[in-house]
Amino acid sequence: MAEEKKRKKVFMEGAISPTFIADSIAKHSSKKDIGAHSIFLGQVRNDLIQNQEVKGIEYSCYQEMAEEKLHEIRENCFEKYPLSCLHVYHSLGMVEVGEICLFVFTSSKHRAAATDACSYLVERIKKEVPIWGKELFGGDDFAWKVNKN
Amino acid sequence: MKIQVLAFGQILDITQKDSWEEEGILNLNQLQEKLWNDYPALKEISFVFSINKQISKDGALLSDGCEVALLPPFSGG
Repeated sequence: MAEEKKRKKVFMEGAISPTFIADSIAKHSSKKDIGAHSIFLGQVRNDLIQNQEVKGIEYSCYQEMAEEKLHEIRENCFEKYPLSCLHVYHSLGMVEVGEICLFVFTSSKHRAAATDACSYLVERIKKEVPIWGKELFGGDDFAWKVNKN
Repeated sequence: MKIQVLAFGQILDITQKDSWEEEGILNLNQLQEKLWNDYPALKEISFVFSINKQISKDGALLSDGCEVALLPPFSGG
């Protein structure tokens, strides 16, 4: 079981499509003990950095370490909150402005566990998982993304 | 003693290679000195080390065949 969880696919090449998210929600209709879902979607924003507008973010990661850390965060989350299930997906490679790069999805019997667990996951993913975003301005210019609260 | 070194993010922009071997380095302080010497631009960048995928403290001892990564601040999401 633990091995199976460890191998859960997290990283997706390019943007996470709204269709994929909708399908993921639909798949939960067979789980009749769920009463609440919470979803966080991270979307690439057109920040202005030194007067240049971000056109997209290119994500890279230290995949082996990232997968180990995500496994640990997932286990900790299941210990901390009474969840039915949780799913995390993160983009790698190019994601354009307006597209989704992070999808965190928690489900539980009642809403508090789902919403609290969802926030807990997002905070830990941003702080602890070795992923980097390169903000591209079009042309050759870029800046390395800095995470804010 | 050989170790494998991995570079990511803005560190990779400076080193221009994502992995290489170093020999005769016993701890992270020695590795940092060597890296600063080889790539002076690294002195301007904040990063931490991991040893075999665990974030490690300054001066931590290295072992033969270990994998040391140079990790700039994370910016996922």
